[in-house]
Amino acid sequence: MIPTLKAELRKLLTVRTTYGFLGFALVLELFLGFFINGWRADPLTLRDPGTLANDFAGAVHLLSLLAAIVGILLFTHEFRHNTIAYTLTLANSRSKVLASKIIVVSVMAIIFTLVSGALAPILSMWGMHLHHLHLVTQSIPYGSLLWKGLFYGWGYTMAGLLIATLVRNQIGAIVTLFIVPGTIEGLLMLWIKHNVVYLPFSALNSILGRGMAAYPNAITPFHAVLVFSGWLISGWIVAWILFIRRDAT
Amino acid sequence: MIKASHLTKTFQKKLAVDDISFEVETGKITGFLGPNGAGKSTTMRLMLSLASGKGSTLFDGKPLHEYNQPSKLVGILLEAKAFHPTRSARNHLKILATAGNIPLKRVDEVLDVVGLKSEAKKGPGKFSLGMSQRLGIAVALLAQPKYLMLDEPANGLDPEGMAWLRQFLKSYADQGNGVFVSSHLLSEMSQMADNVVVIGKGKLLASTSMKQLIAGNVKSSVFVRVTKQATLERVLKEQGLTFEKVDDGLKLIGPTTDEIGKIAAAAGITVLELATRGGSLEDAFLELTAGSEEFEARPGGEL
Repeated sequence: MIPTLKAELRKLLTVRTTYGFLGFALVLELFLGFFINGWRADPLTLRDPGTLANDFAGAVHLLSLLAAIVGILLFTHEFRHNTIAYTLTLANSRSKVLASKIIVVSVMAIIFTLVSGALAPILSMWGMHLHHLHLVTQSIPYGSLLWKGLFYGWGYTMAGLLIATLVRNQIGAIVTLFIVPGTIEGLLMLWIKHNVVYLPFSALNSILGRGMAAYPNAITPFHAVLVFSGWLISGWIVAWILFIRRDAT
Repeated sequence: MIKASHLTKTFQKKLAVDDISFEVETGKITGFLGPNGAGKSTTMRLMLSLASGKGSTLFDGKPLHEYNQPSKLVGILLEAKAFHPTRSARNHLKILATAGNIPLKRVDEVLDVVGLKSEAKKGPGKFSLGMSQRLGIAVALLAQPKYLMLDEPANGLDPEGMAWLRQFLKSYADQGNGVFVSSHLLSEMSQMADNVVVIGKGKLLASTSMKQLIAGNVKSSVFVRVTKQATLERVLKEQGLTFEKVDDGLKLIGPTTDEIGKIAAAAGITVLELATRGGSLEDAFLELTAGSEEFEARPGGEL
């Protein structure tokens, strides 16, 4: 298992797309955190004691998409470039290969979430400081913010990896990741109303309190974690069975 | 020994590999032949459990997944362009060495063996087919495995590369390893393979030694070129021998060179050329696979 894990880590760290997407995340964060939320912060924001907590949650919410795409690419590159035959022949178990990918992408997602989440309020404060803006004393629920942010970042990335494992096609997986949370679940919300929080990405948004403006308190964060975990575990069981049985082409 | 038993694979309702069994011996090169679409690649994938199907393949008595380090047992090359185009050749090999628990120093060693050391830092996306094949061969050799399974490794190689590959595989097999190699290049195969497995439309057509394959499927003939061909033709007819006019001589199946030489001498005919033309692998292959082609082109020149 250790050799497979190390190999997956090497795969992640030796492609340009990993650095491309993480670099893009940093640029986006500089622009939004430093410039929009910091330098150009509006007076209302400056008087809000929850501004920095919002910056953290906002960054995690936005940038987790990029971590998910990195996860998708790690998996789908194997099929697009036919290296999966090597990967599966060198390991004596397909389950080990899949577990290694999940672990490596999980570690990447957690580190990415922590860094991008922490950078957002720092850049925001830096921008305000340079523009001589004064923020009111902040009330930051560190513990709650941390677990919600980490779960969201990890969960979104895992959902991306899960879609990649099921779809196996690079473009198909990325398109699915873009369509399902916004379009599909958005349309379903018109039909099932507040029950939309029992769909995976809506449940995930409820944890962070983002993107659920229509039904802000339809579910508690704890219950949302259970709902999303249920979807994730069910999805991974199906994906694991398919990964074991499918032809490696 | 690799022992493939009753390999069967169905794509939707089409039988791609139909109950194929054969063996790959150590110390020998086993050629794997078949027309396009015969199921060669699918068979190799079945052997490596990369495709799901029926049957089993035992490597020295055990399935591949029962070995702790499968890389020590079998090295594979299934597709020439199986790499990420922008990840450097060295990193590509490092990843696979890591996954196979192979010392990283082997990476530079195999790059040197296949002649790609100077290209190690480049992304293989712009490699020619021949260079890609060399990188694929490097991957197969990483762990110095007991068996090599190579699917069309000579495709795209230049003549020097093909000669190198032939010599390399021969010496690899001579060291007690088993080599299972598919190729469309029959002349190449005839020069290097000891044994041959031939399939057509997913069915096993032959699994035997190269010599037996040729001897069993092609009759050798005698070619004779003389000064007075019309006279020889008449004499042969008088003796009840049948012949076929080929090039600027005659081809006879049945009599030996000695017999033809004596007939010509008795008739006072000067013999310019007299030789036995043994059957080639190509003749044997075409004879064996007649009617087994998945894709049949129109006869030459017809548009």
